[in-house]
This record gives sequence, C-alpha cells and structure tokens, in this order.
Amino acid sequence: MNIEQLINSIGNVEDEYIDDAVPSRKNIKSFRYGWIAAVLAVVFVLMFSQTPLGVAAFSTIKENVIEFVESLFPPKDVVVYIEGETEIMTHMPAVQEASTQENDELSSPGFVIYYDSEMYTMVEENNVTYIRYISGDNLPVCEMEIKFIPDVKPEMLADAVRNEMCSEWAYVSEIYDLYGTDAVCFDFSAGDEWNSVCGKVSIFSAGENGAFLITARYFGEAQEGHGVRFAQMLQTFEVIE
Amino acid sequence: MTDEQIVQLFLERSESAVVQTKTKYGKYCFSVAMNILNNREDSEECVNDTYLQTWNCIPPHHPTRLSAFIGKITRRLALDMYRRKNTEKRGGRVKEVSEELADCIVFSNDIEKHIDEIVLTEIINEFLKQISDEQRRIFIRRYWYFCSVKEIAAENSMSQSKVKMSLLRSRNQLKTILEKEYF
Repeated sequence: MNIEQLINSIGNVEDEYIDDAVPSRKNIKSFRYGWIAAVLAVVFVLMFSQTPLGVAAFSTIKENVIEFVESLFPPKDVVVYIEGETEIMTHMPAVQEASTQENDELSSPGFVIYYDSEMYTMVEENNVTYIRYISGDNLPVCEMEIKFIPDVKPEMLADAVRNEMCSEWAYVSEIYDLYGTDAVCFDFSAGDEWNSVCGKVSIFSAGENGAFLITARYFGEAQEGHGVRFAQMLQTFEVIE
Repeated sequence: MTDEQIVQLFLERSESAVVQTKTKYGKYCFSVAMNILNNREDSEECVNDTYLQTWNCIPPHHPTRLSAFIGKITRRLALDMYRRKNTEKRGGRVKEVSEELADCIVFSNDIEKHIDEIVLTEIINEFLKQISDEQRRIFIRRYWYFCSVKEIAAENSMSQSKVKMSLLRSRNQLKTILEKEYF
C-alpha cells in the first residue's frame, strides 16, 4: 500500500459521505458576521476603557470578578454512584481566576471545577492546583492535579505525556474521548495490587493559550470510590476565558 | 435545475447539460481543484476537463448524486495533474495531507502483494460507517476535499485543536482497521 493508493481509494468513498460533508452556506455566513460583531465590540470596549468613566467601571468590575463568576457557579447537588450505592452530595465550585504576568499577558486562563468539600480540599502549590482527599489514615494519597501547559495543542500534549508515561508505568491505555466533555484522556497503572498507584490523565483545551493537564491519582482499591468521584469532578471542569 | 433534470439533459445529449452543470457546480468543482492544485489556470483547465469527462460518462453512467459524481471526476483529474506537473513546490495541500495519511500506511512483508484499490475503498467505507457524523465530516473535508484545518474549524464552529484531535483519532482508528485487514 502507498500514499497514492490510499488517497485514490479515499476518493472513491460513498457519494453520500462526500455530499454530507459540504458545509451549509448559512453556517459560514453567520460565522463571518459573528467575527465582524466581535471585532466591533472589542473596538468599542477599548475606546470606552480610556475614558474616566470607563476606568472606574473596569476597576469595579475587576474587583467583583470572583464574586460575579461564583454567582454563575452556585453549589450544586451531584449524584454519584459509588460501589453500587447512590450518593447525592452537595458540591462546591472551586473557581480559579486567570493569572497574568507583569506585562498583563495571560499566563494561565481560569477554570471552575466542582468537588465535595467535605471529603476533599483544594490547595495551590507552585502554580499547580490540587484537589486532595482529606485523609487521616495511612492509605496512599488520592488527589487530582490541575496544571496549565501554555502554547501547546491538546493532541500533542496527550501524545507527549502518554509516550513519556509508557516507559514509567506498567500499563498505559490508548487515548480516548472523556465522556460528556471535549477532552481526551488515558488511564495508567503501576500494577494489579490493591495499593498499586493508578489513575487517569485528562487534557482539556484552553483554546489558543494552551491546555489543562489534569492527573487524577489514587490506588487500585480506590478505583470504585475516589476514581469515580474524580471522574465526576472532571465532568464539571470548565475553562473560563 | 435538479440533478435529475441535468442528468436527463446529458442522456438526451443536449449541450445545455454542460451549461447547467457549470451554473450549478462550477464553483464547487473549482474549489475542489484549487485545494489540490493551488493554481487558478490549472484549476480552470481541470474543471473544463471535468465537463468533458462528465459528457463522456453520462451515458452509460446514470448518477443519482451528480455533485459527488462530478466532484470525484474533478478530484481525480486534479490529482493526476498534480502528480504529472509535480506541483509540490507551488504549495497546495496534497503534500501536507499525504504526510498526515502516511500514519495510516501499513507495510506488508510480502512486497509483491497486490493492493486492490477497490478493496481498500470498501475498508475505508466500512471505517467511515463506524465513526460519528461529525468525525466523518471532518475526515472527508480534510482527506477528500483537501481543506485546511482552519477552514474545517470555521465551517463546524469548533477550535482547530479539536479538528486536529478528531483527525488524529480517525487516522489511528483507520490504521488499526487496515492492520487487521492486511496482517
């Protein structure tokens, strides 16, 4: 088989597939007008921000950003199926605002994720966010690490991380779609023992800025517990632009 | 004019068949050719050859989907012209699409093994039937129409990274199916 044969063969696929792929003109037009409207809106905002009234208005908005965003993400009751039992837990939103560098360039977009604040705590260490199980026993750490990787495409990041982990972990799955989201993910494991570390790596696109790399780590015995809870949290993860 | 009416004109050997085809599908054929050849004059020549080939093909063919029938002729003619003129240096997307599809190539130990393009097409059709509508649309826009990732993202109101991820998954799935068929 060679490239020429493959390209020729693709050329002969079913007619309906070829016709179905033709984009509707309406979608293209509305997309173009959307861009024009967006550009005009940005120009208006930039002009308004230079006036005294604009400066005061933006200062007030900036001060209330977190409160405003949190009002958009109120606590919610989440149904989780744990080890055959149904639990309804109130989950709190963890809102991480976007961070900027000294020259006001965006260094990391914000995000929101819901988690059970009675079982987990959220901490930030060295620009990495952790949602960690509040545990008083000697079991292995169960946590979710949320890290922003700038200037990288999600598919490239997924491949790179997976390739690196293949040499370090006993088992690494193929990359697959994370159900209910636009993200991709893969699973990993150190072995089959009850306390073998295992988990899931998920990559969420942050648009042109980069991607969020989220690594959930737990242990074999905890797959049906923490594994499921972390999976539920991932369903609520959203990038805030 | 409907496709059926235009086909009828071809069957009646009416010259207005070509005029109607040009009116309805001229731009479509031109865009298919342009994505491959990246040259206006060559694309126009290719489109004119398409009308001639269509005239020669109908009859005996009686296509039910005239757009796809003509599109396939244009695509084949454009690729033949591209390979003949070796227009790699001029740009166009054939080179970058070929590099992407190289991921899917399966090499057999039997170097004399005859690859039947008809069988390969059947396998690809089967693969396209299995994937989602959105994934199939993106695959066809890229590897049949040779559209850029940016254009595909705009057409589907999605990010370029999502398009690239969809194409990567499609290539990986296609490769798995091809490996199963050829080994």
